[in-house]
Amino acid sequence: MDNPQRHKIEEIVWHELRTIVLVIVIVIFQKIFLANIFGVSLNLLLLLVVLRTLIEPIVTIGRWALYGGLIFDSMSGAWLGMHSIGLILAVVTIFVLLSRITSENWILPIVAVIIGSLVYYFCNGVLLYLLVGSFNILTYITVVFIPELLIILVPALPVFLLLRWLRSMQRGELPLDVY
Amino acid sequence: MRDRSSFRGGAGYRRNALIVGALLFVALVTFLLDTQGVLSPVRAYLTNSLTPLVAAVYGVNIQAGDFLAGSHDLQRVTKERDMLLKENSDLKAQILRIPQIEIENMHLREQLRIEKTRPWQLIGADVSVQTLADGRRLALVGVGSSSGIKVGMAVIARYQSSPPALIGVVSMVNTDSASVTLIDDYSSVISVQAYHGNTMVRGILHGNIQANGVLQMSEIEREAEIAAGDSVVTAGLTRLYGPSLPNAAIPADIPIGIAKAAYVDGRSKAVDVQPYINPELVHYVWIIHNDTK
Repeated sequence: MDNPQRHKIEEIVWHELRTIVLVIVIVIFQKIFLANIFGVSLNLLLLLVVLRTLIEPIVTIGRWALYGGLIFDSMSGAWLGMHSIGLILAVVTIFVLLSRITSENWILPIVAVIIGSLVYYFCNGVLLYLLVGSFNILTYITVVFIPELLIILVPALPVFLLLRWLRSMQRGELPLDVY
Repeated sequence: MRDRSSFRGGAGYRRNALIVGALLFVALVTFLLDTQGVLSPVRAYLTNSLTPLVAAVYGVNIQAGDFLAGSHDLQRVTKERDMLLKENSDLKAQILRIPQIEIENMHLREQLRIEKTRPWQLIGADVSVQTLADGRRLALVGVGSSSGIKVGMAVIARYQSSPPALIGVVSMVNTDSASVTLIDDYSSVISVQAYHGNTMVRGILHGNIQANGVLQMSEIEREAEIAAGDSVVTAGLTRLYGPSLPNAAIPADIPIGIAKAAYVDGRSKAVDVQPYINPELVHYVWIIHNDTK
């Protein structure tokens, strides 16, 4: 006789494993193929986490942020959890500030990426400053934050539209925008 | 279209807030434990598990890049390979057909050449992946404590016609992999000396967060004579003054770069140093395991 509770646990484990594998693929792709675009790295993980916060339940994206950050840390020699903290704080900030705005608005992903990047890089900058050693904050802003923000803004809208379209297809909705 | 469970006013408010709070708590606890070294085995396991996968994809990427670029490097390597093929016996020519063995052979020859001219014992390693995000300059290499690698060991490389030069220092070691802090990372600090004619000038070489690849040598006496074109090498001062520290493994006289411009910085002098090798271009390195000097 089947135990429905057991089925549910198996489904949860399978779902989590699938998420972790997907996140590993994304992080590897980012670290190898997007690490040096005109001298700047494109943070695909941050982009996906921020944009999915606008269209998915926050608990799902919170898990993505935790797993993604941990995998990113284990591949880059950073302390485990360092990038997870930045990503989760970015998710929470975007959710709190932008959850009442409709995701049909095309400006929304741009604003979300700017806010998410601000929180993420601020958090990383503070942790690096405290643990690695002093460095010039102004230089960190001009050399790391601004270039990486600008390059992540380029694909923000197309990726957001793609994610929204995929979501519509999954639900069998008619992808129609009314302005 | 939207399916966003709300923090405010929704039925799942408390549940969602608790779950996200718990995720943040897990991340914070993980971070704090890792900074204390408690999670080192977990991190080592994760890194060791992911490194082969990353290295495989990285290798494919490099091969594809070389193929698409059709660069001068490829032509030069092909010419050198042809020359070596003529010089070597038929047996070696057969071995050279296998690209993997050919590359390994080339690296070992290079290693032997360096070991003949320098008092160093070297361990070769592939660069698995480089981290260039967040302003950091780190690299992951495919050897670890199982090969005798320790924190503080100097990592050298050779690129095109450059001499074997320092590109970083081992900063973290796992069983089969190690993390290398590259010399242009902003946390990199190495004691160095520059030769100007018959005089020697000592200072500290810092990495630079700016992506221009130029390093800064500081803490030089204001009256010291140093000029553009002087060669900069490691000083190995940690070995002299702090033999118990990890960086004591860095020997003296490893080439680093060339002084580019000298200027007065307050009560001391500073020099911009152009490294011989841009660490980002390196795919194979040698770790100085021991020096017989």
